[in-house]
Amino acid sequence: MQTFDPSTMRGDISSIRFEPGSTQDKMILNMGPQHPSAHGVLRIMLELDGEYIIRAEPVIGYIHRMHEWIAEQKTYLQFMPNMGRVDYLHAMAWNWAYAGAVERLVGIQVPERAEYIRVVVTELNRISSHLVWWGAYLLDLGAFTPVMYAFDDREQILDILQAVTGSRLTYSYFTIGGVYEDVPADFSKRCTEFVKRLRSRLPMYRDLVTDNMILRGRCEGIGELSVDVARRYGATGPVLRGSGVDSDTRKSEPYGVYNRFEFRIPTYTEGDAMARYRVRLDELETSCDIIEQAVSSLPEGPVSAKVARVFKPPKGEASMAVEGARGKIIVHVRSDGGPKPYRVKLRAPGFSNMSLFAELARGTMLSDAVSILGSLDLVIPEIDR
Amino acid sequence: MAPQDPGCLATVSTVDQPLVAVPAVQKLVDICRAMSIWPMTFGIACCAIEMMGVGMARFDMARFGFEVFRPSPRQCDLMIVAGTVNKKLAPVVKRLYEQMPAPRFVMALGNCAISGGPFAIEGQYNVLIGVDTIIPVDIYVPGCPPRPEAVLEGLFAIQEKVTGRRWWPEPEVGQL
Amino acid sequence: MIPECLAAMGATHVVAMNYAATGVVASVSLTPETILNAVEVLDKEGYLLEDVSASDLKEGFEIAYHFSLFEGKSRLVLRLIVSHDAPTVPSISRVYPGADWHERECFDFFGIDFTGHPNLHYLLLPEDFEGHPLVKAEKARKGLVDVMPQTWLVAVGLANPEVPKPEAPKAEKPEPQNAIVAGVKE
Repeated sequence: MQTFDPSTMRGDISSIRFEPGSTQDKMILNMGPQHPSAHGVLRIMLELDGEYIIRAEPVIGYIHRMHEWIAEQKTYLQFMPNMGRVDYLHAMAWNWAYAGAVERLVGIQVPERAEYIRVVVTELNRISSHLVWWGAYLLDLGAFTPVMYAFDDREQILDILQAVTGSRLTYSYFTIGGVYEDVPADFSKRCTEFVKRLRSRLPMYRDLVTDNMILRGRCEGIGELSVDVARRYGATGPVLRGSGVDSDTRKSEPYGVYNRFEFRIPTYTEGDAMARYRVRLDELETSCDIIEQAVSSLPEGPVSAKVARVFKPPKGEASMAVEGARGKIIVHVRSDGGPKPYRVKLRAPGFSNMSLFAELARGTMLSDAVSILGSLDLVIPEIDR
Repeated sequence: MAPQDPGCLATVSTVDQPLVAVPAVQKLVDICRAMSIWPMTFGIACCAIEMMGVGMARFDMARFGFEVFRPSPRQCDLMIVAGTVNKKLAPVVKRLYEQMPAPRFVMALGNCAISGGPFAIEGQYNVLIGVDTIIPVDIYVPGCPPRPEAVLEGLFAIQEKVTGRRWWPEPEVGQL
Repeated sequence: MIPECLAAMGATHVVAMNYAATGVVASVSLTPETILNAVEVLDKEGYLLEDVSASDLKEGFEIAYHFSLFEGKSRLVLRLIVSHDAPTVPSISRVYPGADWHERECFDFFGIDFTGHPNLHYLLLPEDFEGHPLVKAEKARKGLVDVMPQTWLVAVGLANPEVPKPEAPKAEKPEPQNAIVAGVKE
């Protein structure tokens, strides 16, 4: 452990630590924390030899909002809205991971209707998260039109989810034992119509964007990730599936009622940014399949289990793994029998995926590093929590 | 609000007098300025997605003049602080504000930028209770996150602040 | 359903856990001396590092390493305890480079010193931050008997199987056994 004397610092401590390399011709470039790529407040310090990156070091913590500390100050149910803000693009998955961990701890049986509703809203949220990723990634690469289409599709999803939950973005719809409120009467119809509309748009996205020569040139062969490196860094989700590993938490550790639906896990073996891109676009179709099946077989019944008014789970610890849009989300909850959790650990997939970046970016050109960063699909508040 | 230590000094801002101070010309310049404000891309957290949504096809702030989003603060009029500012980010926000040329405006978008939002819990160690502890804020838009319509109303309020009147029709209450 | 590789770890205890109730298949108790060897065993078996987290207990800081395979319900938790006064444990970032950032986060929140770590300084907190936020006040700390499930306590010998209530040194909270489905939420 090293200590630093602030009075001798020339810049901030991250700049001081990032000492220049041995030869004279290298340039230190600081990217962020404010830069046009819409990832959030991420700072990357780069040592460049011309256009090539010799070293890259991400500096995070600019949006550290103390979620794990807050968990110890609030009761179990009061903490649920925080889960919507950890990764606001796939808030439903974080809701599910936390609610599922607490339900495992206590042993609550969630009603069937709630399980189906959970699946549908989480998959809708996954589609909207992938659309934002897709639009923002293409914006980074310089294409201004696809993001408009992506947000237009996304607004349709937000209309549906707003009718269900009341919010557009940071949902805290889940509760311990089910979901907060039942869905409106036209929910199934709207979901089916939306899925039909999205399926009709996907061929256009493929022809105009995925098959575009410029996109291919910017993504193919960029940021190749081997399975062994991915495993030892803990990469999960589309980053791992783009390297050929057929691993999805919805199939490997089925939760909710996912084992009742037929769906394909898209996997590509090249391991480059194009493979990860294709995985996510194929996942849009997978989510459409799941939504169609779930909505057509939505059972009747209550939407949440009865839970004690002063909720005190028994002592113990439980973990729940959920497949988020970015990878495997795990929430570990430890209880001491009181009304507030003793310790909540949020395992964000972006945290492990981001730590890959330093290794993947080495030796690439700066513009390729932007492409790699986009292909990892990072949401910085999830990394900083 | 109780005094607190944001970790860096608040900024002191001065605006020089214009060279030609003819009221009619100033008024015209103000209208032109208000109708083409250039915001800065400074999305921090969840509210940034709503800010992006306002820029997109459905809500489209470009039709009101906010077309050009510039990444560099030296080319912007408006800094939309969209998200939570914490102690590590505070010097960065202050530096960006200082790099903006006057006249410049700041919109605190969302509850976190106004007063810390859902993170302003007693005993917390990292979040600034509002971005106005370090930079002067012109418009506050509450919400968590605020709807795009609310963001648009905030932008209209900035235009009102610059020119003295509101230029766009008021929506009727209850109209979707 | 405990994997055989766990036997080669030199663990103090290996406890099979109920996956449906806890989300893990087995819990392995280790010491700072045996953790590196255990992690190398898992690396050879092809386990993926999920996270490294810590928690503040009366006995010390408990560091938990979660690993799982690509397929199937296979989550393992490796746990060890370091004392509050000298929280030192070898870093596993040589074997699993992804642990680099996880260990830095544990350092941020608890002040745990990972020897051999290439870059141990604040990751999430500002560089001039004083202290480690998630360290609890002395009176708020609980012991293992207060936070671990009964089956685990019995398996490691911290609780007596015949007596349903654990004889904890300070057990001021009554055991809420029937918190599962009780009362009506109005």
